[in-house]
Amino acid sequence: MDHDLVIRAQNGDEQAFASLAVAVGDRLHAVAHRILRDIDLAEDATQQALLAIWRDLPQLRDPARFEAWSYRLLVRACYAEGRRTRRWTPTLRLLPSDEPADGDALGSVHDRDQLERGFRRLSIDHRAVVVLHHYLDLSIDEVAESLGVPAGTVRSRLHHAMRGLRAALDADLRPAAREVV
Amino acid sequence: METDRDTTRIVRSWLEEGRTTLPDRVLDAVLDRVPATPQRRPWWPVWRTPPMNTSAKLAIGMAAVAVVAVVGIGVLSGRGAVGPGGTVPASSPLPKLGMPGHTASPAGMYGSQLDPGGRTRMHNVVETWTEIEFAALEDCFAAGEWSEPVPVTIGGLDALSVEPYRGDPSVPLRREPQATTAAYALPVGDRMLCAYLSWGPATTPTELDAARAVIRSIQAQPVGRAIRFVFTTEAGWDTG
Repeated sequence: MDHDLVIRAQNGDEQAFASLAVAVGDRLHAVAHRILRDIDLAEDATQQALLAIWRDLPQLRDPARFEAWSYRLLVRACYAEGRRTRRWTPTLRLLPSDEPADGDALGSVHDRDQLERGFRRLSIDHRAVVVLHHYLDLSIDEVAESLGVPAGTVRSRLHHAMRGLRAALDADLRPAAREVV
Repeated sequence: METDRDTTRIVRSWLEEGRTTLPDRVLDAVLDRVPATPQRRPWWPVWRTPPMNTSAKLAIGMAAVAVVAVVGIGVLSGRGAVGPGGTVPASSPLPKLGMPGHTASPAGMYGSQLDPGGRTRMHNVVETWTEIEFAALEDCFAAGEWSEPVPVTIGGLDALSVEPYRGDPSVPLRREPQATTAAYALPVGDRMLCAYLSWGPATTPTELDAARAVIRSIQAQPVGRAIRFVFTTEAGWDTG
């Protein structure tokens, strides 16, 4: 990240902030989409996070930490959007279909369904740790810095989340209705 | 049965799927709102470290060693321990906190030492009920519902606060009807000191201010696997 751009935006340069937003927007949106599993909510969370970045940028002490700091604001925005999504629950269901395994790393539609369901059962805290670590490839310490929590908490959340996802993948294949979300 | 490695591979592959581009209309909406969104300026001076040559770094390093030595001598002479959360009197025994009763303690400094998973609480017995519960947990905001975390500084620690907080039953909370709880997470070393402040609809603003002052006064430091902390109360709190 261009530190000069960050410093100029901190000082109120709207053009510099526009360049920053273009530079980080895609990545923030990709992370939000993976945490929230909903395109509309992810767009709202990204928009809120970008505005929060502009608003609070003067309080960032070290421009070198801009990226980690921006993830923290994004995860906060995801908390807010995640609360919105809790107020409704999808009720439509599809009958199962016999999808053959396609042999790729993800295995089958069944795996995707099970992962999706298992992931949605996790709290935003746990989802954020999984996405930052396994999607962005941040180290445990970098995730801890991004979220503002101790590294031990990150390890614990990651362990808990991966255990939940593994249990979801291990769930039996009995025919059952699948949720449509 | 999936192995850990299989699960990681499958999850990583699954995460690669999905949208990666922010639509232009979202970006445009943000940039349209920027001119009308004032920036929050900090009340503290924003400092940045200028580039330093080796001599300057060496001088600063020697100065830091000197400061550490002076502080260390102070600690060894029994004047108190300096922890990441500020100065916590470590040499004197801490007054023990007890479970809620009906004995108001005098104003003063109180403290406790919590092992991992430990908890203790106190309440105000003068006015309507207000309660503070302290816990040494791995995650202060465990499963449940909470508001957006807000950064706060308590005793020199960069902490987080949520208000209101409705945690799951594993988190110690006052569960009166219509109770409101504010939760504070203070990172102490690699551990977490959690403070849960609960109050009822009849709690007066003055009482709530006094309770928040107790939270703001917390000074904490790690002691082995435990967290040692002290705080100051006005009269009226039952601290056992």
